[in-house]
Amino acid sequence: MSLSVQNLSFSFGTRKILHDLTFSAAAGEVLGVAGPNGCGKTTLIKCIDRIFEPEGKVQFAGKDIGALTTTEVARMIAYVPQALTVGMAMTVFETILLGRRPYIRWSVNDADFERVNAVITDMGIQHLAFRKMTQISGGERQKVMIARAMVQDPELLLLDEPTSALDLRHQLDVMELVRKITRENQTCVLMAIHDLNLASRFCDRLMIMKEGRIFALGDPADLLNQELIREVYEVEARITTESGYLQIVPVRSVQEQLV
Amino acid sequence: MTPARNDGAGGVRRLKEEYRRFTGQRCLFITGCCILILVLVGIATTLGSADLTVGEVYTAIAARFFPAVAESSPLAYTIVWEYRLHRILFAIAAGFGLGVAGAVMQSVLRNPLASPFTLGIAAAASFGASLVIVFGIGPLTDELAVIISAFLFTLLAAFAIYSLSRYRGISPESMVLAGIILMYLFSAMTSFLQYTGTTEQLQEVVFWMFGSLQRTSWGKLALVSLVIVVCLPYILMRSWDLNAMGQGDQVAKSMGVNVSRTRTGLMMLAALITAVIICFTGIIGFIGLVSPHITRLAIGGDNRFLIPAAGLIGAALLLAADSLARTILAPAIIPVGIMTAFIGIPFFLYLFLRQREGYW
Repeated sequence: MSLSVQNLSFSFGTRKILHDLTFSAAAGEVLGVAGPNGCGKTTLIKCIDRIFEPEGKVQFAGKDIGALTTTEVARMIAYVPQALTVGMAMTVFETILLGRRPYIRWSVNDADFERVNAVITDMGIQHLAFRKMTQISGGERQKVMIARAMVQDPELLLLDEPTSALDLRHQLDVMELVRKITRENQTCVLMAIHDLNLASRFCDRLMIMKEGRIFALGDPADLLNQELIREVYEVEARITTESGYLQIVPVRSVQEQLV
Repeated sequence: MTPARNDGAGGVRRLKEEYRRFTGQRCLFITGCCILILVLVGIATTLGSADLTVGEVYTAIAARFFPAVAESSPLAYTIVWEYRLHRILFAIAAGFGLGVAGAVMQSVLRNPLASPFTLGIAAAASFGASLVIVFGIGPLTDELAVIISAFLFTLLAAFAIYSLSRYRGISPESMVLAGIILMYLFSAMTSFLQYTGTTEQLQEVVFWMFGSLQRTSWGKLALVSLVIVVCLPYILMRSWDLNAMGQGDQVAKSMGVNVSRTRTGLMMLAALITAVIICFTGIIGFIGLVSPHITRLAIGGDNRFLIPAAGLIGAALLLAADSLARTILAPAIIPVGIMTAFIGIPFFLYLFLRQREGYW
């Protein structure tokens, strides 16, 4: 089960956002997508999930995503957006249950209960099940959204900045969870991520984008160096290794240096 | 991170029990609403300016079904069957329809202020009615012309909202903005008609806009019921999609929902239900806005339960309001559009102030 993207391009009107992207990701792999704001990470994710209709070819497990029905796509691909909309007067359980929508016609059956229970037990959020969505913290909410995506039983999980609103502990929680899901279910994960320290630690491969193009793609440890950071982000950075993890500290912007 | 616990079966059982309890509460609420409506019907049939006893009223009702057993006086029979019953049933149908339409609009647009009346649909009906009242249309210058014109303008407004927002992409924001623009446009045009009309015309327009159940009939009741019965199954069928859309359009799309088709379809049906009701009654504004809120406060936001329950609350509210409106200043009848707000607001305020968190 692997994702294969070939010559994917996308424009908003006349403004071209994505230029001819070709890459692939394997089952059981976390592929991180990083790059400056506006480089097209979120757009790429939406193109893969057919929220936008791109040019080019997106295939998963050998099937052309563009040729499938929306329900077929929903049974294969799940998406957790960056900005979370909290549904109206819903409990955590009801929210997670929404992920079963591609399988449910009207009433909730045993399989749905079992699936939701397995996921929330695995994620350690059973105690939240009948709390209201407005009564839980941002970190818990993010976990609920990932749980909602997981009960969809996806083979490909698309995450848009899953950690950007979270404190340190929840960042670690969520990233470890994502890696665990990937390994245990042999899910393929594509994740937009800003935090390069977390990316280097939790992604198997990292794709760096700049202005809608792939700038570099490979092992994070090989990829992330001072030149790349300078060219892509226009900052001077110091890169060290701390407790076995790569640490990238931005020092000053390149423009500042020129002045 | 909490380690995975090995309590699969127990966990599933707990989830099921809790969820069943939840569902049970909702079904209880719906049953309670039905009983309330039945009680209100029982009371409402006995109310009125004609001095009939409770016994006479129920004998007259029974006489229709069991003419051999129950024998009613012709007067009581006429009053009950020609004046009271269809009005009471119409209040139920209209309240139900307006409650459903309001719940659908609020969910479709993810907006607590959405209702047929904040979206210009009612303003369009007022304009349609005023146009005929002030100018008349040849031989048709009567009730029928007002009804047809109000109905057509309501649908026109719905179509305009659809076209405007389609041009900009069918999002909740574009629909709400298009609706508000239309509301102001039609209100201004109605005001202009009032300004140019004679005093009698002005009075008639104002009275139409108060909303009233004065002119109901069995035929109108049948028409309204038919539209609701036809539309409701589709609306309920789409309630999972509506729940998914509560999480945002793009999440709903990723769960396989055809968002713009669902949104357009449901908005058009809500507009149709509203149109067929208010073309007969005039503006009854409060029901569509507040019954979904009362229901959501009581049983939460799952549209599978919210939509029918909001309809029942709407039916109970409108029936209670109309019964009061008929009796409180008898023999004068207060327009029901005024009465609904007087009845609904205290009830809504109580629930709204009691529940601080987790609502909307």
